[in-house]
Amino acid sequence: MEFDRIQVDKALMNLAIEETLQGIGKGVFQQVGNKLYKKHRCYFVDCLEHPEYLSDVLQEMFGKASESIIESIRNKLVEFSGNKPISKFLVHLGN
Amino acid sequence: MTSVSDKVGRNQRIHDTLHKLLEQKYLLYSLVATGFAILVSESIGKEVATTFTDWFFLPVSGSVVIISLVLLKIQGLRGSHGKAWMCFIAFAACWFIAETLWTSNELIFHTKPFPSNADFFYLAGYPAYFVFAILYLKPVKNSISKNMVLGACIVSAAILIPNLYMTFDNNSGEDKFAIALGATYPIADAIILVPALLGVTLFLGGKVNFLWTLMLIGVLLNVVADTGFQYFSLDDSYYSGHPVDIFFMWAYIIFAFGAYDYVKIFRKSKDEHRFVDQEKMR
Repeated sequence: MEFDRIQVDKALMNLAIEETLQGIGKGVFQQVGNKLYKKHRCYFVDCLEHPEYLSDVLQEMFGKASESIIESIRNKLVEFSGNKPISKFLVHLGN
Repeated sequence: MTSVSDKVGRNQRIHDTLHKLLEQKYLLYSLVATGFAILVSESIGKEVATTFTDWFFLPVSGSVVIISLVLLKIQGLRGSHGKAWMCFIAFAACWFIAETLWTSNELIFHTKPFPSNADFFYLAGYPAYFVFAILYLKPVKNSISKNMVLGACIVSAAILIPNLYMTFDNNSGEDKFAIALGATYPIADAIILVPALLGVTLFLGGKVNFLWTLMLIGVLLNVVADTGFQYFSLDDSYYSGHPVDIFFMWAYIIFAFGAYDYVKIFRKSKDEHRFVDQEKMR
């Protein structure tokens, strides 16, 4: 049961990231995904355990403006912050 | 309050951007070669300069259209940036059409190229560029502070004021419509300078910052060129191929290299196929 909950949290987080990045552009979504893999050998779903990887890639691409993108992902997930892994992800994302 | 480490980090990022700018050998060669070619043609004679410059504007402005089309193909139409790049293509296409009309008016129909139908397309390019910048900045609008907007507006106004002073303080024999039309360009440049300044500030330290640095330089070159054009037109000494045209040409080259750098960023990521596998895994 615990295993399933983590998968759900990963899916929710993945959806929030995808929706935010696809909203910016298909190219941006793909590039962030590629950079994540290239630099950290990590997929979007793995960012639940490693939010710092996502922050790093967004910072590398967008500089200071990455804060806005992180804020947008955060806003999409805030209603699920009752789930411990998501809450932990939100605390570490962008810090 | 900005901490010392923030300031050090910002200085480092500015240094990195300047370093990347100085590394662009092909950009530098293109700028030097273009400037040199116009000056050589100008030294031969006005007619040679006019013919050479008018024709030369076509491939240079056309290259911006081609590169932005490639960019849109890579980026896709979806999302804010997809729409932004469509507007950039509209801007580049308007100015390419304007250059074509200028050249045909002057060299084929032997009519006065300014004011002419070319101005309609030059001016139509400005709203397209402005919408491009707004759409590009839209996803990160929360990072834009009121002070940043105010600062950008002050810089733009400061650049615009000398031009307006020069326009209203002239005794030129040029007709009123031509003077007013000539003054419209620096005003439009000042308006598009605001988002360009915001872009450079916002994306400082990011890979996309280089595009915005070049966009800013391109707009600044247009400000210089349009102010020069207005000054020499009022003086009745402007002709196509005048050295002030070098700045117009450089602006196109800078825009083209900015878009090309963006293409390179995305092309590199397309080579990395692992992420595509991730999409298939769903």
